Amino acid sequence: MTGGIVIGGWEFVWAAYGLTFLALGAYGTSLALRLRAFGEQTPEGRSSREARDEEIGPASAGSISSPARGGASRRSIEEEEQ
Amino acid sequence: MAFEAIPKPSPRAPLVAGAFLAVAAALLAVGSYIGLFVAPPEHFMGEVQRIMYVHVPTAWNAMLALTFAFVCAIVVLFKQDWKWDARLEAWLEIGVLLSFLLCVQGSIWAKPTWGVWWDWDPRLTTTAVLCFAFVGILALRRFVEDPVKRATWSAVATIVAYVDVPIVYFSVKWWNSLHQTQSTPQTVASSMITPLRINAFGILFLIVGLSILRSQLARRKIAAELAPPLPEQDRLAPTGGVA
Repeated sequence: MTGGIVIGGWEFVWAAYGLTFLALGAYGTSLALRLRAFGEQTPEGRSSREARDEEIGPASAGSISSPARGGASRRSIEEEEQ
Repeated sequence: MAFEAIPKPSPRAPLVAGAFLAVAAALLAVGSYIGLFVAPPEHFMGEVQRIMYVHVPTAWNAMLALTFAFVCAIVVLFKQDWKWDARLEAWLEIGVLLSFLLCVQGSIWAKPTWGVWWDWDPRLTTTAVLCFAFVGILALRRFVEDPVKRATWSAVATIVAYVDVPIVYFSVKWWNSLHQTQSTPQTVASSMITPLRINAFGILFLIVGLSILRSQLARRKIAAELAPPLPEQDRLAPTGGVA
């Protein structure tokens, strides 16, 4: 700072813009990844996975379909079938 | 009956969110370009003032996100609908993210202009309190296992914490503050208003797009929590042909 006037300072500008867009981008990416991961446990994800299982065959399907799958997808599918 | 229907994710939501995010990216690219390379430097702060084009829109949108969270909290208490609880969770998280970014940007701007990274002046202190209060509500949502209690308690906590939002806004008027008072179009050169507004709308579109995605995630989590577990026999039965 010279005589009450700030000289230079571009590094602070880049830091502010960089951190902001990095954080927003990282949050958006994490959301997309979390949705994708969760989508595989929901009816839409399950139906696409089961379609893939049918193509692959029952032997492989056993290793893809986890017994720990939550009750949500099962119940939603049952509701849809009804 | 309250909190009954299990929320279903909307199949169109990712498309709508994608449209909002695409518009946001375009607006932020244009606004940031004008703010960084076209707008003139400020007389006293020079180039450092360009931080304003991202700091002020972040502040406006942080307040807006927390206001949306406040509205969602009120609707949760009156309608007791899981969709609004999912929206509450989304806006809380986005509001906290923007409040945190606001503190970081302000700190970066403070160093070359005030000579310090942080000062306990009213605006900065109330903003930090705001950020920590809403972080606390997000923590509350993670620790409470009962979905109904979680929705109700976090809605009440959001309404209580929202009291700090107008305090943050008026803090520079109520107390002697190192932070400057709010600028208006009359006190800012028109060449500086354009990037400010473009970035403000850019961040607005961005957070609307992100909130759509985040509330979809919250809906899926609530649906998974509310659905009864599979019977023990079903869970242990082999699902394929593995011997």
